[in-house]
Amino acid sequence: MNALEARLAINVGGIGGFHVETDLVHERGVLVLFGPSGAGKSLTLQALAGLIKPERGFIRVGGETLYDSDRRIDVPTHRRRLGYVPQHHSLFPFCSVARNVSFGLPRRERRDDHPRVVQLLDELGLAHLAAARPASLSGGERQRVALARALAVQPRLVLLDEPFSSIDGEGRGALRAVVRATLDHHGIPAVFVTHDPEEAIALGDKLVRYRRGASTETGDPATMLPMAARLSLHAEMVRVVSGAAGNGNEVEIALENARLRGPAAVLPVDGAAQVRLHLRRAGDQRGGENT
Amino acid sequence: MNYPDSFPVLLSLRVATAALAIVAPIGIALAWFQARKNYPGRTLIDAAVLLPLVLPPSVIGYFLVVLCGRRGPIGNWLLSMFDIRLIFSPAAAVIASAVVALPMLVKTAQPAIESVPIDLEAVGRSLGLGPAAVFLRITLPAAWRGVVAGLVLAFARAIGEFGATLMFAGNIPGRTNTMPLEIFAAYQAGDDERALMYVITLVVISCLVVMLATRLNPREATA
Amino acid sequence: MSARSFTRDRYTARVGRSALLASIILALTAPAPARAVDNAAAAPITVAAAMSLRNVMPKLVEAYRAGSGAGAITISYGASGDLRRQVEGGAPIDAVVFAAASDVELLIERGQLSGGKRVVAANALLLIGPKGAAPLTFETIDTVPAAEHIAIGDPKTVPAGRYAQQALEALDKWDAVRDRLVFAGHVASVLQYARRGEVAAAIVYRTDVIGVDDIVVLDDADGEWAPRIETVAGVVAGNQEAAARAFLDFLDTPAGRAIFTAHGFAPPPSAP
Repeated sequence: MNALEARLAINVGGIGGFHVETDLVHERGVLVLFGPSGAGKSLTLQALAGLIKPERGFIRVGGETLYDSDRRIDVPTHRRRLGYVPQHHSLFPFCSVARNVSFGLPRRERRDDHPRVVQLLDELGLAHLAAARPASLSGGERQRVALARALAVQPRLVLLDEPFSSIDGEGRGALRAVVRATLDHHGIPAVFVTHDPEEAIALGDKLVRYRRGASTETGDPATMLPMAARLSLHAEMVRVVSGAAGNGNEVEIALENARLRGPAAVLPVDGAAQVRLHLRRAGDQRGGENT
Repeated sequence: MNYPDSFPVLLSLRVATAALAIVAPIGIALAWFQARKNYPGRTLIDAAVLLPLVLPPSVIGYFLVVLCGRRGPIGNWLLSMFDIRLIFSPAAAVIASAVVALPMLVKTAQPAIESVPIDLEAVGRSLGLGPAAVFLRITLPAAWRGVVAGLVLAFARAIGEFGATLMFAGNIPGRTNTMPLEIFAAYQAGDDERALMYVITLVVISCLVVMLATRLNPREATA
Repeated sequence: MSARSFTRDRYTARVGRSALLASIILALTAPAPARAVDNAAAAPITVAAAMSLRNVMPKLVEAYRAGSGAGAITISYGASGDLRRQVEGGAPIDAVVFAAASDVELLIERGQLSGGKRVVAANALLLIGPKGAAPLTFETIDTVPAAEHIAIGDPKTVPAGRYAQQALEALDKWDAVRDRLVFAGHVASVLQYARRGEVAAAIVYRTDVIGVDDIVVLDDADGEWAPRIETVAGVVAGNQEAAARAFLDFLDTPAGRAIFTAHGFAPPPSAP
């Protein structure tokens, strides 16, 4: 049974508005919807959540039909049991972190110290913030709380709409790791929207590329996005072994104590002691070796 | 100077509270509806709700008497079906106050509700909250400042109602003589001391109420 | 409230015009003092009249002006108590015609009237009800059901209300009916409550119901307990005393009396 199957045509804003056609089949793990802004990823996510109504199509989650235009089925959002983490304004500003996380629990169980609440806060490194107010949290902390809250009601699928795009630089890596670990640990499949290739590769098990209002190819993130990955290299330069091919368009540099970070698919070997990097200026060709 | 009898003060407070009890659910529901739903004629309803705010109280009183007096369509129906006489009763004072207080509430609460991010409500629904729960547990708490400020201002307007009350509830000492009516009657009778006592009381109450409303809903507060 | 603002607005506009007219006339008459007396009598004046006189005053003014070529007369109506307070406050009123002696006497005490009070007519109280009202008398007025109301003028400002209270107290019914009373700001309002059917009964002047056909007269006030109701006038001390006096004199002539009678008033009692 697949985590998600959906085929949708979405129209927003009538003639001249947005039109999105999408076709998704996802077995398990994290499905990444990838593409530039305005390509239709967020609209697809909102349609999956039931926040907007598609023109036609179907949505099946874990074998259960949530929407089917032919059979006139349209389960309202509050009965779909899908978690939702938006990009902004995710937390309820008028209550504490723990209260936020316990928000969706049935009234009898709604307590700040409910075992599931405590466990999720722990897993996501938020235990010390249980009584804090959303206004005092950083962006990364807020989105972690939002995820904890979504998971607390044991959804069968979590939808995340560019949750980290408004969080800058440094924290993102750790954030991604903790999110991935938590989702894996709970075994809950997810649909993750992003335009950041690094994020797609770090989090995704499967990727669907969106271009101009339609979902196109599907495949392994790393395979589909090798070229867009960001490399980072820290090293000490020993000497310049110049003019390898005898022209000004090439330079050979010997490095020491190098750390090269990048997608695992491109750089299967980790942390080499010596790196020789061959940079050739011509079109898009770049070559590299490490030893 | 002795303080004159406290009946008008208590009556005013009771009438304003009762008016608020009627206006609160209607006004908050209306504010939510106008804030969240877009439908043809919405601007017209906006204008209609605000009308009692700009019309003179004598116009409001006129309509109340014409509609709800003994021979008016509503008054006649109430009399024949339920033996209820609205005119010249404390209930009439409550209705007059409610009519002028409603737009104060809606005008203040509506922008507060509008500024609650849609995402918050979307998250609420994804957590399993039905529409009513979303409104009560998310929208209202998120907009509470504006809503409470609206209630407070509505109370202030209700307690100060005069013209429509005089026309619809009449001046019946011991029954419908709220503070504003008493002040006018005392002034007309030349009893300035009596008028002044009630004036001071009304001013003090209104000041407290307005101060409370301003603290809750300062103009420069961000969402 | 309606009575007060109603008279104030018309009042202000007309006082303005009267003042302008007055200054023009004065400018024209100043160099010829020999003709001062005649012209003074022709000066425009403002008369404050009780609401109960709203039907008879225009006729009196019309007749007066047709006869002697007098200047313009502006009439301002209101409850006698309201009007008295306006005179006390210095409003430019030249003559008063009130529904009760007490309001005139208060002005005399303050030294604001010149020449004392004049009783120009007499009136009586009536108990009326809306068309189709159940029979009722002053003596049985306390049998009005508890959920119904009886309209009278506010005794604090409206002479008709004071007279009604006097009558009910004399009959020992005041305490019994107090909880059913609705106070109106002036006697025309009391009449309106009855015409609209908002009350079971109302106490007005006999003169108020002349020509009014959507009410029924339930009872006359004609026992020992009935109050003596006089229409009392006075000249306000000021610039237009002569003209004011001339008008009030007309009220006492046979022509004036005839107009009063035609509108339901009784002649003033002959005793001083």
